[in-house]
Amino acid sequence: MKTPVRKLLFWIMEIGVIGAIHFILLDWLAEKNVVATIFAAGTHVPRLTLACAGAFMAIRLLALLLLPGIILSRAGMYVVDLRMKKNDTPATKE
Amino acid sequence: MKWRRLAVVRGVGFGLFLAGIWLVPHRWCARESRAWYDGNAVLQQRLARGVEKWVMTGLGRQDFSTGTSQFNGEWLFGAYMMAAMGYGQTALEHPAWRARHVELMGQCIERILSQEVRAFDRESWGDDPIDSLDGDSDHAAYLGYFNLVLGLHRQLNPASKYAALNDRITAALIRRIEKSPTLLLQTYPGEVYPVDNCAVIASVALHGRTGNTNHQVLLNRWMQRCRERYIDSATGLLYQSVERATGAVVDGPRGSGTTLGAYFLSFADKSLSRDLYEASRRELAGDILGFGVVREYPRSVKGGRGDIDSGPIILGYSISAAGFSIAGSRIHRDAERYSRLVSTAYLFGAPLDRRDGREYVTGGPLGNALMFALLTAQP
Repeated sequence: MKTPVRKLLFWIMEIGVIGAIHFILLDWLAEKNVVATIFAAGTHVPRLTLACAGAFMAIRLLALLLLPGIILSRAGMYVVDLRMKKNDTPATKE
Repeated sequence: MKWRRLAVVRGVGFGLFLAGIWLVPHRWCARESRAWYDGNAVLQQRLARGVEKWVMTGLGRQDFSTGTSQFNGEWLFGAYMMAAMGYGQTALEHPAWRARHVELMGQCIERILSQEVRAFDRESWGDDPIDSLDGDSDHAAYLGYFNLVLGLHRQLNPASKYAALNDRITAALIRRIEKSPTLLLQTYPGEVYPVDNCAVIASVALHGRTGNTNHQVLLNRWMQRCRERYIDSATGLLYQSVERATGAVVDGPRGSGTTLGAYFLSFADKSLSRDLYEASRRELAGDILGFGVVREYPRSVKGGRGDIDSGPIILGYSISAAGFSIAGSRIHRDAERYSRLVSTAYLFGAPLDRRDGREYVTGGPLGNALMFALLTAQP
């Protein structure tokens, strides 16, 4: 079972990786002007281009839209779980 | 009791997840919106520099990938036209930038006048929009949009070297409007879009203000006709297209046409512009998780598929209509709506700041020029 510190480090690493992928893709796609094609998407757009643009948007939505909820949810679950575990533990006799 | 603990923990987690996606993302994405709304010089200059990069590269049709040469040509023209509007508007807002931005407008005008940029309109009409000014081909989109830029350039620089061209185009447009039984001009042969005619009439109004000529009688007649015939009485939205000879509806009220029309008409008749903006807000505007969205079709229309004007339609919401509404919300001082729409533009536009300015990564040349013009639309 993960210790609290390891758990926290894992979460931070996860957020860092998502953020890094997002910014690397953003920078790279800006150079290539790939994502602009998403707004004119049709049969003329190469599938690989469309896939790259789609992947970028998916990562961006994950990072900007879902991540705050995921972080808040995990932190809340961790705190509530810890408190309930404490309350459930029978008091030891002195 | 383990199951009870698990249920409580999961319940709290789900509740916090919902709270997190409801409360945080749209506020984060809108964090610059107040500064944009207030005309922050740093932000405007950053985007101006980003757009300048596109303007200076000498764009061609090959830089666009709409799937048809015609639309690639339209987008090429639109990129220079909207970039010029952005430079003009920001020069009005920050007089210290006037000299440089008037110069950049001049570069856009030269490109719009080039044979390469004019080609899309020439190919559709079979004659050139500028060479045929004494003729009867309407060329509503090219001439209307371009003349608006010329009027703005003249407003900023009364000694504009394009003043004579502005006079000639305005005279041709007025003559063609007077001749038209509907008071509307054709964008391409047989195609009449009220929104393009909003640009035409806005350019005539701007010419009246800058060229010391009074077009008020025609303007009043046009606005009245527009209210009576080209605005849907049930929704207050602008019809997307009408029949050439009679003005009968071909494509009904739509978000992209109404919201862009509200922007253009702000140069001619603030009251009609406000009415269109209010109608779009009432009939089309919505929020998803706090992000501002705009429908392409009124709720009563089921299954509208949209087109190149609306951009992709997702769950009934149009990317173009949301973008164009940014202008209306700034023009008509609706700070709350502006903020929500800017947050959507941030999420899907993916702005990236570099040393040479800001770029909306998903926008390309046209998207960036549009964002520049719409974010800086003048009240």
